Amino acid sequence: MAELVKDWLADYQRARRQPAESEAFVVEHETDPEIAEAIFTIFNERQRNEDLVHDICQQLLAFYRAPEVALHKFPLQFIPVLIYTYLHAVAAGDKKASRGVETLLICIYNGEVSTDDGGQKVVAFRMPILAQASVYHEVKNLPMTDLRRWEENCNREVKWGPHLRIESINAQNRMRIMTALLFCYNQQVSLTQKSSLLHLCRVTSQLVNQGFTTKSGHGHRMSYGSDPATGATFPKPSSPRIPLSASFLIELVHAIYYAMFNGYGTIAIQTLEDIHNRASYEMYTELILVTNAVRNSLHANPSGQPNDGPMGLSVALTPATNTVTTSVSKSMITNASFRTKKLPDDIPIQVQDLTMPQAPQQLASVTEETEPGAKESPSTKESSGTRTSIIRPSMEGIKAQAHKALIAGFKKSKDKEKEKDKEPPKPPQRKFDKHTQRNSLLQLQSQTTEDYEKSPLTVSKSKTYDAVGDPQPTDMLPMQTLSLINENGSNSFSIDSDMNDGIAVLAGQGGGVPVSTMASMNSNTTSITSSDLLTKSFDSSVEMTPMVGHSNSNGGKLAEHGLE
Amino acid sequence: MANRTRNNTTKVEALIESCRSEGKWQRVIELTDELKTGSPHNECLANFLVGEARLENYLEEHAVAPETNFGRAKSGLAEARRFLNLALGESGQKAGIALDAYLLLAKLCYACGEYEQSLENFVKAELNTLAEKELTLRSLKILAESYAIKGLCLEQQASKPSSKFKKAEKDTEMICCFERASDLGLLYLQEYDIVSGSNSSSNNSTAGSTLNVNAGGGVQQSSSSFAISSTIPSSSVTLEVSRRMGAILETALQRAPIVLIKAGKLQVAVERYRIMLNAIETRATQSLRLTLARQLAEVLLRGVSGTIYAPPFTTKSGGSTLRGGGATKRLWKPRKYAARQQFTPRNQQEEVILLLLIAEALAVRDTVLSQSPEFRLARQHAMGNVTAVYDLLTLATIRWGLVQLLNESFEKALKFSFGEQHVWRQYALSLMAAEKHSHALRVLQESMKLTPGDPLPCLLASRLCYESLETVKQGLDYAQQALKREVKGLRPSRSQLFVGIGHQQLAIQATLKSERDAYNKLALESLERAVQQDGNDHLAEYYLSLQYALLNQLGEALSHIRFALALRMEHAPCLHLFALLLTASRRPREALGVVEDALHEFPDNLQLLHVKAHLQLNLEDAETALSTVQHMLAVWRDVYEAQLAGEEEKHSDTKSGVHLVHSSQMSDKDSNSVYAASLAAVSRVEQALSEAASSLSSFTQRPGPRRPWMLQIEIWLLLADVYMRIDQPNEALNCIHEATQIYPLSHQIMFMRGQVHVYLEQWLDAKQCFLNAVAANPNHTEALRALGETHLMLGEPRLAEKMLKDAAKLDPNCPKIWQVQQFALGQIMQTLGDFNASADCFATSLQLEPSCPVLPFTSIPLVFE
Repeated sequence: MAELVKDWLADYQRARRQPAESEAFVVEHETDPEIAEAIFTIFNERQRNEDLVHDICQQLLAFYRAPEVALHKFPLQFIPVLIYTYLHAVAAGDKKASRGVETLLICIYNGEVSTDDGGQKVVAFRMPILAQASVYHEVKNLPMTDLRRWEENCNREVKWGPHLRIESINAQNRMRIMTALLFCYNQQVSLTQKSSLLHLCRVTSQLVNQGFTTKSGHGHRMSYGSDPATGATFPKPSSPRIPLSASFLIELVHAIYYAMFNGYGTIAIQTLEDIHNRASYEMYTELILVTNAVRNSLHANPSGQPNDGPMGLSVALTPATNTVTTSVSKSMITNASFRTKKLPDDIPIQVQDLTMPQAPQQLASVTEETEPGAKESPSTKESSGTRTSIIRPSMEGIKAQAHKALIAGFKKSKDKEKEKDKEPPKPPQRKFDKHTQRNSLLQLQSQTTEDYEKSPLTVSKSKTYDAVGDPQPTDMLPMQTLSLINENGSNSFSIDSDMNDGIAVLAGQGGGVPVSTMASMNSNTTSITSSDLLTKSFDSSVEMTPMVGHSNSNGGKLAEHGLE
Repeated sequence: MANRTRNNTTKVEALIESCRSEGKWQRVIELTDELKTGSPHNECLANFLVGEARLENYLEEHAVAPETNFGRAKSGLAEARRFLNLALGESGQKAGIALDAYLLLAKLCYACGEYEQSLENFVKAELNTLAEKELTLRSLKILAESYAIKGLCLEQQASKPSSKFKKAEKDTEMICCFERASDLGLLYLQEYDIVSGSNSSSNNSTAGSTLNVNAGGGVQQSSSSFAISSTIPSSSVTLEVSRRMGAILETALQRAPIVLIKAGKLQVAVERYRIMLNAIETRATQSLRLTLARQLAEVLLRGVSGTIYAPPFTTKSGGSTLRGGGATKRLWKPRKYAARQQFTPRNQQEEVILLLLIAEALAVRDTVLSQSPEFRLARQHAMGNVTAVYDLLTLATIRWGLVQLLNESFEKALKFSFGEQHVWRQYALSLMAAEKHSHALRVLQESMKLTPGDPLPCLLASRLCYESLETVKQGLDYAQQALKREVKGLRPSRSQLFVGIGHQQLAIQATLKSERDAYNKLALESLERAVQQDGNDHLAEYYLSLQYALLNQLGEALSHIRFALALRMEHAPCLHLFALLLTASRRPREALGVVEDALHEFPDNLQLLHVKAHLQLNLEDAETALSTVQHMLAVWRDVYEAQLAGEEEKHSDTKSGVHLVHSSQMSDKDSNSVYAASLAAVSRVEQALSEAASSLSSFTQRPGPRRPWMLQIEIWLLLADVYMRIDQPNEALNCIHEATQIYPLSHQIMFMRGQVHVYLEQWLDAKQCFLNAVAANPNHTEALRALGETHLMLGEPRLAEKMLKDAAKLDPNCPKIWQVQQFALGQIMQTLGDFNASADCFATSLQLEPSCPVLPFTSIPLVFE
């Protein structure tokens, strides 16, 4: 091996002197797989070949600075082994011996963090959000909660870098530099020879396991008796643990993950276990997250094992047809049966409001102004406000009676069917377009005015809703409006928690088909709390009511509605 | 008459056609009888239809898989084969059904495992030469399946040895078949959605189509199964829909990219995935899309490193994505997503995260909440799907510091993750990583329950309690629990160490001497054991050394800190403790040397700089100390300012900055006080006070986390101290003013202001300041001592004695207190004539003086790395 490397060193020295030969050298070098293997071997036995290691580092540095791409990329595959050599030497307190390696690493680091024109390299990407249609999805086909969730991430850019060039490595920046180097290695890992992945795994195991052998040599205990004041030199453990940071190990996991699915499954899995053990020992939460994830994906998981199929990919057929019988799947509750809404942030206010029901009007106006979700323009807000105030006195008295009766009447789901026929006839409310939507909401609102008296916050919420249901077709629609239209389009209501009462009443009065839909919706709402209802069919959009605030505030009434 | 029959037949034919496309095979057989009776010369067509219906019926009941019992299939399909063969004859050619019959026969052969014959039938059908034209729904499906079957058959054959050249040729053909099959299959499903959508129910038609580009496609349905229709129960829709695709098509769709990867065409495979995902989704492709999205993400994560990545749809930019329908549309290609302002990934990370987010949304939707046993299989399957996505998401995001994102995902997952230990643990970990400490503790408690044998969650909880929640007792409980769980004895040393740390902290907090002694004993025991169990653990050695230091056994402490340093040379807290131990052993010069060396390795370590400044203050002139403190301010600005300004930029490499805070985050612990943990409560009081103050006055709270600001206060106060040494009380007051700007009601500030008054000999003001400081923090020994001193100066020796006794009780190892007390007692005793007590105090002071470090040992923050 040593001979091979020596020849290699000599060849390049010769080639450099004669430009004509240099080209031939590059070509020959690129096609020679043995030299890399030989260099790895030398690094493994570095104690016996210290001079050679030094020469190799110099030559690799020369390669790295060479204009030929093939030569330039060649040293990158040695980054893990170089890092190990260096960190091992540092941990053993033998920094002098690793000067060559250190210099090489610093140069590669400085080279990798800079762009070709000398600027600072930044790897950046935009955070994708589901609320924006992409080449792979459309907004309307995804649940609203998922869309809303990412709003805040909109246009966010995630970056690696910029990194400052460095002149020297110290304990403070060491891990950061090693992490950056490994990141660069990972960027290019698919260009390296596959065989170097084997060395990557081996070196990684050494990095994380060193000093953790179960047989702990208590040899250095002997010096306990020596006088501490003299500062006598303490015998060092033969292989001290190598300090490693979480982010460094995360990069290593990525490299190992690549190796795992590119031909080195078994050894890579073993290495991953080693990293995981180290992670648990050091309690690096982020690292444990990642190692846990990879380990979990390796067993009993559709992601597949490294050895089934290329890259662990295999055909995963939907089992629905085979395993689940029709009768079973009908009563099964899936997540699609529910939709969650985030609770408003001002729950305490609501509770507070309820304690003083005598001043709803005033409070309503206060909450309306502070309502963060309200995206209406000032003008619409105003109009909606007046609208309610006009409606309230007129509708209140008329509807109050019927409303109460309805609440009292719908106690059980069975009763619902009978009640349906007795209800006062009303024009069907199902086919909303954007305009009737507003009107129906208006009615709806008017019918629930009685509720408003009790919980002023609901007033403000409904106002908001009302205003939002009044979309300007030309405008960019805010999220809420979008959701409304969409849900309306698929003919299913997503009931806002605070709209719950209102819709229930609407359903009660609506008559015809909608009633059953609505009623079943409401039954689902309560079924979260009452487990006996869980077996009911959940055929339509079910709104999982936020439990906390609501069950506190008007829980009693909600239950009544729910039991319809 | 004939005319009527004619009409009748066409009606029947139309009916049959619609039944065929909807897969109502029983009905087809019935109708065929009608057809036969209506016009006898339709014999051939009838044969074909019956054969088809029988075949499809059989296949619906028996899944086709390579392992299925071919023998049974042969007998079961014999009749279908007979009918189809009948349809092949001369009349079949005339009726134009021979092609379809051959294709179906090929399918039948495939189902029976006769791959060669199947391929022969394809040759007879001249599958390769078919021209692209508009097809009926049923034909589309037959054709798509035919390509799929041909691909599958070729794949079966490929496993048999043949010449290299032939093999390559076959491979290409197979890949081509799979690609066509996937295109046609998707197109079929899209067409099917349109047809069934316009037939059935007006309930979907109100869905506003954003896809007006699809002029030819008609109204686009909001057709996913989750967009709940009011009439059909959604679950049955999915069931019906999944039957629509069939195993053969689904296999082919997933197989296409896999065979490409096998053939070494990674880029083409990625492109194939992209094309399939770019096709507009249908009700039937929901789960397929989930699989594909996940698999593409897997391919990108596992096999494509940054440099060889090519972003999607760049070659035919714009054109390809907008080619949804209309004139340019190719007949046999599925329609694609097309919307204005589409997000097109530009690099690997964007694409991976986008895919995983979509996959997550799809997978989460299908998760099963029902806990009853009959749903167990379905639940597990859905859970497996969703955890696979979470695992990939973890892998893809953590590297970029996007822990927050992960956090939210897991939070949503809790709903359907009852008893799923993996999800709960990951959630707990992500909360910890996102520094939501108390929330994380709650989740960890759940995780402990789910994995009763694993010490890790207990250890994590213990660390949380020690490090962030200041609930040492609770932390100790968890540590002991972890120790109990270490039955396998993998690495019990960590649990042992944590038990030791807990005892140590409790000892520091204890105010009763007996309690303190008991805890100290326990701490020493467990730390000794931790060191024995893991001789290579520098952290155990460090804590053991610290324990000896706290017990004032400096010799032992020094030897253990040397062990710790031998195990890890570059460990800032070890070096810190080492320096303090040296100052306590009257070797301050060496200590300064150690600190200076340590600062070479850790130039930005404010703790070490703090020690350095103190040492310089005492050993060298105050000017050098001044420059050190100024340097500290500069370091503070470098390290924290960017972080405070851009709180949101908590990613990748600023992460290193964040880690720095992490390691030094305890440094806002009063470095002048011994009572680390009780201080938390105090600082909470202070925070409350400051908030109250801010609501009253014009004071505004500084943005960002508190810890960096507390650090800055500390630096300002140190600076004030230095200024007083060089006799510039006004500068000192300015510093105090700066500190007040950050945080008006800190006891440290009050104390320091009192010190300035002492310097200026304004005793009454000083007394007031010290009283304030003690009121804010009754355990602040420095303030108590200073208050005693002031009382003494004001001629109130009794009060002074009281204060000093309190201080001595809290910190019996501080010589300064005893010294002052000696004076105080001296004054009191003078009047009483008893000098013994005074002499005792002086003796104690003298005894303690040499072993007193420049800063208390407890000023070193807790460390866990």
